[in-house]
Order: sequence, then structure tokens, then C-alpha cells
Amino acid sequence: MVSRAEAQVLLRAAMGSSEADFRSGQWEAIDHIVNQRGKVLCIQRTGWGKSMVYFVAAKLMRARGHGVTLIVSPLLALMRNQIEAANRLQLNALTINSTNTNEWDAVRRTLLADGADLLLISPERLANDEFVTGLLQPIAARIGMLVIDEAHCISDWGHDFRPDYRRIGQVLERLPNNIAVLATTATANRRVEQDVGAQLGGNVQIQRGPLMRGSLALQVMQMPSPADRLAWLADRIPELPGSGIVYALTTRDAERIAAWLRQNGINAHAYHSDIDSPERERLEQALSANQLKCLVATNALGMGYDKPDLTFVIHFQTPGNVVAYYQQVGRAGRSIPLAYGVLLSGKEDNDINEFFRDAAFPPEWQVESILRALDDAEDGMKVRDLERAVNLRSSQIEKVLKLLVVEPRSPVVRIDGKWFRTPNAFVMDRERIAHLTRQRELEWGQMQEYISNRRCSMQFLANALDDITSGPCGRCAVCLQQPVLPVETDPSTVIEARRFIRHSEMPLQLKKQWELSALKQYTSLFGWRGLNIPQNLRGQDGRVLSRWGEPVWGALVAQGKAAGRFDDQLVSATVDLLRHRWPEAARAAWVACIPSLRHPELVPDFARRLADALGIPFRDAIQKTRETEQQKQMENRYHQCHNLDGAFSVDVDLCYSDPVLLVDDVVDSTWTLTLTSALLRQVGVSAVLPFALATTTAK
Amino acid sequence: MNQQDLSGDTEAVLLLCGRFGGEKQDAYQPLTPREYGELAKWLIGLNLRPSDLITDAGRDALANVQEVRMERKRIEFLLGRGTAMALALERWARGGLWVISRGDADFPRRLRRHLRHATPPLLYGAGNKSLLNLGGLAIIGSRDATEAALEYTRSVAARCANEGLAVVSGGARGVDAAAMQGATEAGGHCIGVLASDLLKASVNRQNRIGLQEGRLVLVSPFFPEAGFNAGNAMGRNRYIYTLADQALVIDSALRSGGTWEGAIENLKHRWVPLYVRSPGEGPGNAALIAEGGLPFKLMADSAEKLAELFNTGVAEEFASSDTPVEMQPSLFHSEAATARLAESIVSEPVPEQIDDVPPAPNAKIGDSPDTEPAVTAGESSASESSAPLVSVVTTSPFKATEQSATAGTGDVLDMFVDFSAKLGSLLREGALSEEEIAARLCIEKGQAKVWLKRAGDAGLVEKQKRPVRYGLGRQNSLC
Repeated sequence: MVSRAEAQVLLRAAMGSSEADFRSGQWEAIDHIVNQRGKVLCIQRTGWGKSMVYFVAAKLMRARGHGVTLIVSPLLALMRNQIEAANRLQLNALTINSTNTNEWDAVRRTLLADGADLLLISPERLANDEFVTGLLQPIAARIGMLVIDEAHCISDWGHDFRPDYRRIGQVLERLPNNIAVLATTATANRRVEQDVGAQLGGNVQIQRGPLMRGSLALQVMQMPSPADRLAWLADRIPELPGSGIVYALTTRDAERIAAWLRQNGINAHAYHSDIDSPERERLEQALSANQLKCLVATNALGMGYDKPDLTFVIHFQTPGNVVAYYQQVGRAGRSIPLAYGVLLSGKEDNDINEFFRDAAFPPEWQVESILRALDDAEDGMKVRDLERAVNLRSSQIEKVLKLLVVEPRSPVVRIDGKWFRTPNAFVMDRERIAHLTRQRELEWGQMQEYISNRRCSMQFLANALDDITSGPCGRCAVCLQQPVLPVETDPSTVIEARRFIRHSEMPLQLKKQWELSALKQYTSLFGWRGLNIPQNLRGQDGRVLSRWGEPVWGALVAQGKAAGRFDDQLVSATVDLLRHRWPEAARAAWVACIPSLRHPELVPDFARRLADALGIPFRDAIQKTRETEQQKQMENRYHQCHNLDGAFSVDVDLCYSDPVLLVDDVVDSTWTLTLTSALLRQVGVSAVLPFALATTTAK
Repeated sequence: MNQQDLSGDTEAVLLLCGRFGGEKQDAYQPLTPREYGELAKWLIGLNLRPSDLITDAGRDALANVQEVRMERKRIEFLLGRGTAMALALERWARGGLWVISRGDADFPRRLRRHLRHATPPLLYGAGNKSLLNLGGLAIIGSRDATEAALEYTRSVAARCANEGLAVVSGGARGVDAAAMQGATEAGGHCIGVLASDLLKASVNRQNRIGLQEGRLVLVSPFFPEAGFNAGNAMGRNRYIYTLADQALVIDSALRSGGTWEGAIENLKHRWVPLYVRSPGEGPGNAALIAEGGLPFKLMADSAEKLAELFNTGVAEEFASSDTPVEMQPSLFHSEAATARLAESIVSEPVPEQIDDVPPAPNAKIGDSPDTEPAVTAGESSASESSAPLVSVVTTSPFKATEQSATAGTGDVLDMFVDFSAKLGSLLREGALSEEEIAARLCIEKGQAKVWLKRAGDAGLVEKQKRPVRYGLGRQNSLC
């Protein structure tokens, strides 16, 4: 049996202080883990010292001949202060993640030689079969203790339940009682606590501490108009000390806000899931080093990021629930005396959150069509094969598979890169889905309460997380009865912000690879080959004027499509874009457009007026030779290409060899513009500059 | 497979004997079936069960494990492989696989009866476990059979299906596949014994329908992700024979090849009657008959019933070894309950000699790290009866030792037997708490606790959570 005194010696060594003593709960957790080989669920705010618990426990376990401690955490590496503590305890900590594959062999050798004390991996790694069978399984026999960070994600009741964590839960359920487990989180209400406790199995010790954050000054402002909120950001952020994070709900908003802040001289950068991980890591480091004033992020900037001196976290829109909000705003002020947490509530928040709730689970027909295809497959299918068999986007297919494969009795399984149907029967758990959706609606309601709350904001958050010990914070706008940060904006900034919103164009990128198996007619006609579209058949990068239905131009495009004629304002907006914000467009010597048999005049009429305004000729050079299904019904590349095979032809006599501006009204997958560009290049047009009035792709 | 499906003993046996995919590099190798048998006997002597090894009591007992010439460090290392086991179980569960050990009620009785201490400690499988006790006809033949042989195989298998006889097959290409296909397509039941890749086989399209409909069970004593290995393929022959009531060789090579070796092994051990297609196309068919096989002359279009054919002639000699499944008494029938408890681990050796196979050298650790050490039936001079309380019946020239289900209770007066019988009838009304059970059976709470634990470990009752209550075990379908 390890005594408290013995453990305290290690704690003092780890902290480099001969005075240090355990915080309430730390020794109890260590005792339960080391002496009972028990399981502990630790709900404590960030900074409480969870890592001290597993460092000291790991050290004690090692001293008793046990194996390495496996830490499953979204953090890619230990924080600097954690590394120092580990070094002082002479714990050898190793990391395996997707960014250090070149070190895996060395890590594996160290592990096999029993030379490592701590191994840090991400939940995504644990959900990757190739990684588990290839790397983890060979060393797993030596794992003496498991640490699960951000354990609230295991729970169905958690606000950001993740498939990867569901699998962790299933591994935990199968652990025998002689393996110690420490599950930690800073955010779990009672229900999540019970759920995670149950998945850990018997003999769980639960610890819960106060969640109040002493350094955070909270403020809520209702600002329905996006222009007002943009203006507020531009006026206030330069006045704030240090650096911070602005959270937005969507990728597109993150991009737009970042562009707006840069336009206003603020060193900001967008951060979201479409940015590849090396770039994201670079951005995180830039923020940590205060080389950026702020990152404008979606929730992709998640639990793995920890900058102790973050000065502000501002939400441009309202997140879906209190736990997510507490997590995000809680990144500010971890080790500084004062930090700001401001929530701006907008008129679009409700719609966006409703969309997220509806899109959280794939519709039943998608699940069924994928299972049917796998059922019929002789020898499993890759996602590519599934795209052919079912009319769904590869991202939709992957989402469905990812959800199915973590079911306790999964109907699908991945073996050697292929998906197979298992003998397990499958019925969509409608009750569970309805229940979770209801839960999310309630959570959204609670967030609304936070916005209209007239009591202390921090206390409201703590109470919502079932911490009832906390009193008023004395530093939020409600407690102070005055704003923490000024609410005013400069009217000229507001006018500028409105103009910015009008100019909401986006880059338009065409496809770089084609699916020739779906383009048999064109392939035999032109002898097209290869996986990539050759450079001499590609269009340039283009522009889209607006997002379908969104304020100003997007709404006008939708109206025009319904009325059968696009408003002249759209012509002048396009000219403005071409002349002032798309330099390459000056090369365009003539205009062509995508024809439609359904609306034969709509786009040519617009293209003609645009050509007149630009002072260059319009040529009706592209013909539609057959009716096609609506392209927006085609969900993946195979079906999208197949639908267009042989549907267009180019009249070479009507073409100039000079660069052409190729106009379409609404773009979704960009296959139509990609293929017609190739057809134009095929007959000798030197460059194609694609343009569309609106895009419907979801971002 | 979820956690509740894995009994406490199976968990411990899996830790001791199982492979999870990373053993090559491990300092200590899993126990061979023989080593496990030794350990289990030692545990019984201490009045411990495999599941106790996860507890403090078991850990303390390991201090003396060198009594059975085992290294304590090795056993402790193996028992500490919980994370490796949980990762593998989670992966296998996604393919619908389960694991059972000798002590589980679903564990095929025929295997225990024929193979005794060479019974594999663990079986991995997919599909309907209850098919494992159906017996039926094993159909044996080569991968490279002629089309005529395959056609004949399919028709015999279909005939089995029509007569309600299960088919046991090796799950390989050729005759194996034809047998399974013939049986499944005719709506029959089928047991596939695999030497490799159980996980892949469970998602194979051909197998999936049978698995989904509960008419097929795939089973393997080997690591479910093991690739093909000739040793395992040979090793699995014995399970094909011993899961069946009789076997039919379609064609065999002469004195070579898996079919020949397997058939000879069966004849030597006199597990089940061996029929050989006659006339067949295999050069070894006649020789097998000369070695003791029975000519199988059934024409594809004959009206004769297989069941009648198997019930005549020499097959009768097997009758005594063939206690019908239906006669298996309730698990709470006192003799059976006691027998099961002992049987579930490994029981006392009885001085009966298996004399016709030379003892094999003990498998050395690290000999073949990639493969499960093949089980060798004759490697110990002692075999064991399946239960200490039952008289051994040996009336046939084959060494059938199945206890008679109605045999006397012997001379041990174990109160637990009485307790478990009464508990069985009590719980039929519904699940009860520990206190309720103690009150109803007029025993001390402490005693009830101990016995309930024992009954739970034996799979007789199932512990339910929140509130804690005990109900009849789910395996208890025979009640």
C-alpha cells in the first residue's frame, strides 16, 4: 500500500516545491487508483491539477512493476509545464499522433523495451483500426493504467458526443477489473457524470469540484444584425490586450469575419475543419506565440488547444449549449488575472443551430441504401465503390459509416481498408435519435436563458453544469451592473461593415480530377485519359457572387430564378466584382454561358446583359444536346459526371480562341462548369474564367 | 458480444491463453491448452476459479504457482493484459464474434467428451452458439475436389438438411464449401470449424445469411485474426470430427494430405464412426475402409434415409457415447449443476490410458510465435473424466466416457448443490435480491453471498445491476 506521505514526496518533486501539498481530492484519486486498482472519474475545472494525479499515480505504478500509462487525449502533446513536471519525476513521456509518423518506430521500440512511462495518443488514433492492430496492440499488454481526458465526450448525454469516444467507451466496458482508469473532464453535469460512471463499470470513485473561473469577466450583448457585430469586433479587438479567439458557427462565417478583421488592420486568421492539420497546427502555434491577434475559429479549434494567457474569447454567434460555451469561453484567462468572455447573440443563431440539430444524424434512407449496397457486395466495398452504388456524397457515406461502426453491435466493419456488412442485425435507433434531438433542443433553450439571464453570468454557467456551490462572481456585466467592455460602435464602421457584407463573393475552384468511368461518351470522343484533368483542359479559378438566398445578392438571385429574370442590380454587382476584385477577369474577351433546356432564356439573357455592360461580345457557343436530371439531385462525383456525359456540345464556329468568361447562375458541385470548361479548351479556347451568381454548397 | 456476454471465467481464461495480435514481442507467451489444464487443476485444488485470479485472493495464491512449474511473473503478466484484451474484444465484437471457454454452458459438450484435457480452453465464434451441440454429420474432403465430388457433397448435405441433421464442415474451399452451401441452401443447420481468419469469414457474404438467420455457426479455437497456417488447418480436423456424431469422407488421397491424416486420427481415437464414399474418386478411399472406415454406398438418388443408415451396423457401437441432447437435465438438476462446476475448469485425472498416440514433446515457448500451439490429444498420460461425481460408462469399444445424466450423486455432500437446485426453482418466478434469496431459503446472508457468487461464476444465475438482483442465467435455456 502506498501512503499519502510517500505520494506527497513525489508530488513535491513534480511541482519542484518542498511546500506543495495535495489539493482536495488529488490524494484520494491516487489512493483509489494505485492501492485499489480502481477507476476514478474526476470532474474538476481546468488548472485543478488532473495531470498531477496521473503523473504521481503513473510513477507509483511503475515503481511497483506495472507497465506504461496510456493517456487518450485530444491534446497532441503535453503542455510545457506538464513536460517539466514529468521530467522532474523522471517519467519518460512519448507521443504518437498523425503528425509524427516518422517517430513511430522509435516510439514502438522504446515501448517494447519497457522504456516509456507515459504514452499520449488522440481519440482518433484509438478509433483507427490500422493503428490499433499495427501499433497499439503489440504494446497493449503492458499498459498498466488508462487515462481518458475530456471523458464527457464518451457520454451520449454529452453536448459533443463524438463517435471516436463512443468506441473508447466500448473498450472501457470490456476492461477487466484489474486495470486502473482515470477519466477526467472539466465539464460534466450530473447526467453525463452518471453515464460516464456507468461505462467505466464497477468500483468508480467520482470527484467533483467547483467550476467557477476566477479570472473571467463575462458579458452578453444582443446584436441581431451581422453588420453591427462585425463593426463591434473591428472597433473593440484592437483595444484589447494580448490575443484571443473569435468563435463563429460556420466555416464560411469564420472565413468572412477573418477577412473583415484583416481588412480593418487586425492580424486575424480563420481556423476550421477545411484547413489541413499542419496548417492548423501552424496557426495554433502562431496564436500561442502572440504572432496573431486572434484566430476566428469554428468548434474545430477544440479541446486540444491550451494557451494559458488567452485574453479574450468572443462569440460572434451563440453556440448550441452551455457546456460547449463554457468549454470555449473557458479557454480564456487560465493563468492570467483578467480575461474577457463576450457573447454576441445574432438573429441567425437559431436557424443555424436548428440546421445542426437536424443534420446531426443521417436520414434512415441513407443508412439503408448503404447497408443494402454492402449486403449485395461479394467481397466488401471501398467508399469509392459505394459512391457508384448509392447516390450519396462521399462525405455523407463516410459520416454514415463512422456512426454505424461505433454501434455496440455494428452492422458494418472495416477490414483491410474495405467495408463489410456484418451478420449483426441493424435497426435505426429512432428513439435514441429523437431523444438526443430533444435533449439538444432543451440545451439550446438553456443557452437562450443565459442570454436573457439577469443573475450572475458565471454562476448561471456553473449551476447549469450542476455545480451548485458557487455564488455570484462579482466581475461579470450582470454583477457589475455595467458593461465590462463598451457596447458602442462607430457608425462609420457599421456602414463599412454593411458594404463588406454586400461584397460577399467567394473563390470558385473547379475540379482537378475527373471520373472518366462515368464519362464514356466524352472519353471515346476526345480520347480523354488519366486520373487528373490535364492542365490544357482546365478552367481558371473563378468567382461566385453570393451564397444562395443569403442577404443582398443571394436573395436577389433566388428571386430572379423564381421570376424568370435576374435583376439589373446583379449585372452591376457582377461588373463591380469583375472590375475591382477579380484582376484576372480583365483578360476575358468574350462571354459564354451554360444553357438549360428547362429555362432556355434565363442565363443567356443575363450573360448578354453582362457582356453589354462589359463591352465584349456574347456567344451562344455551348449547346445542351439532351435533357439531364437536375444536377443538384446527384450526390457524388460518379453520378454527377454520369449525368452530364454527352449532355453538352461546343460549336467551334462560335468560339474565339481568346479567354472567355463562362457564366452560370447557380453552382453546386462545379461539375457542369468543369466539363464545359474542358469542352471549350478542347476546341482551342485559350482560357476559361468561370463565374456563377450563387452557390448552394453547404459550409 | 458485450461485456455481459463474457463470463468471468472466460475473461480470465482469455487473459491467460488468448492471443490479441501483439504476442510476438511479448516477454511471456500465452498458456498452451496443456499448460492451462495444469494451472486449472492446481486452481481447483485451492478451491479457486479462473475468475478469482483477477481478485486479491487469486493474486495472493499465485505466490505458490511454481507448484505447477509455472513462473509467477508470467501468469501475472498474462493477467495484466486487460487493455490488449479489451481492444481485441471491441474489434471482434464489431464483426459479431463471441468467445466462450470450457466452463460456459454453450461450450460444445461433444468436444469436452472426446478431447477431454486436450479440449481447447477457448472457442471463438460467430452466429448461433446453440448449434454447437447439434452434432450431425461431418463432411470431409479436399480443397481440389472434382465437380462430381462437389455435386455429390452438396446432395448429401442437402439430404442432411432435409432430415434435420446438422452438417459440420471445415469452412475451406472445395468439399467444405460445397457441404456448407448444400446444407444452408436446403435450409439446414451448419457448423463451420475454421483454421484461420474467423473475423473475415464472419463477414463473408456466403456465410452472412446463414449467420443472420441463426442456421450457421462458425467456430475456431484459434486467434480470430490468424492468417492461414498449415499447422492450424491440421489441428482443426479433430474439432470437425468431435463436434459431429459421424463423419463422411468424400475423397481422400492415399496416406497423405489433411483428409487422410484427419480420418486416421479419428479412427485411432475412435471419436465417431467414419464413413467413406464408396465407390469414390479418391485414391485413399479404399485404404481408409481397410483401416476401419465404413463404406458409404448411398446413391445420390437413393430413397434411403441417412438417419436409418447411420443407426444400423457398427454405428450402434457409438450409441452409449451419444447421450441425446434432449436428455440433458436442467442446469439446476443437482448432479448436472455439480458436474458443470467441476467440468467447467478441468477435472480430476482418472487412471485411464490413451495409449495409441505417443506423447508429444511439450510445446516450447517461442517455438512458433505466429500460431496457436496445436493441441495434442495424447500429450499427457492421464486423461480426465468430465466430472468427479459420476461413474464412467465404457460399454463400447470406443472409449466413451460421457457421464450418464441420471447417474447417482456419488458420495460428496455439497450443500451448494442443494442450494443451486432450490435457487433455480425460486428464481423462475423472477429476479431477487441477495437479502430476499437469503430470507426465502432460510440461510445466512453471508452464506447466500458466497453461494450466489459461485452460482454466478458458473453461469447458473446472472447478476443484474441497479438494483442488484439475481436472475436465471441467460445460458439457462434448458430449464
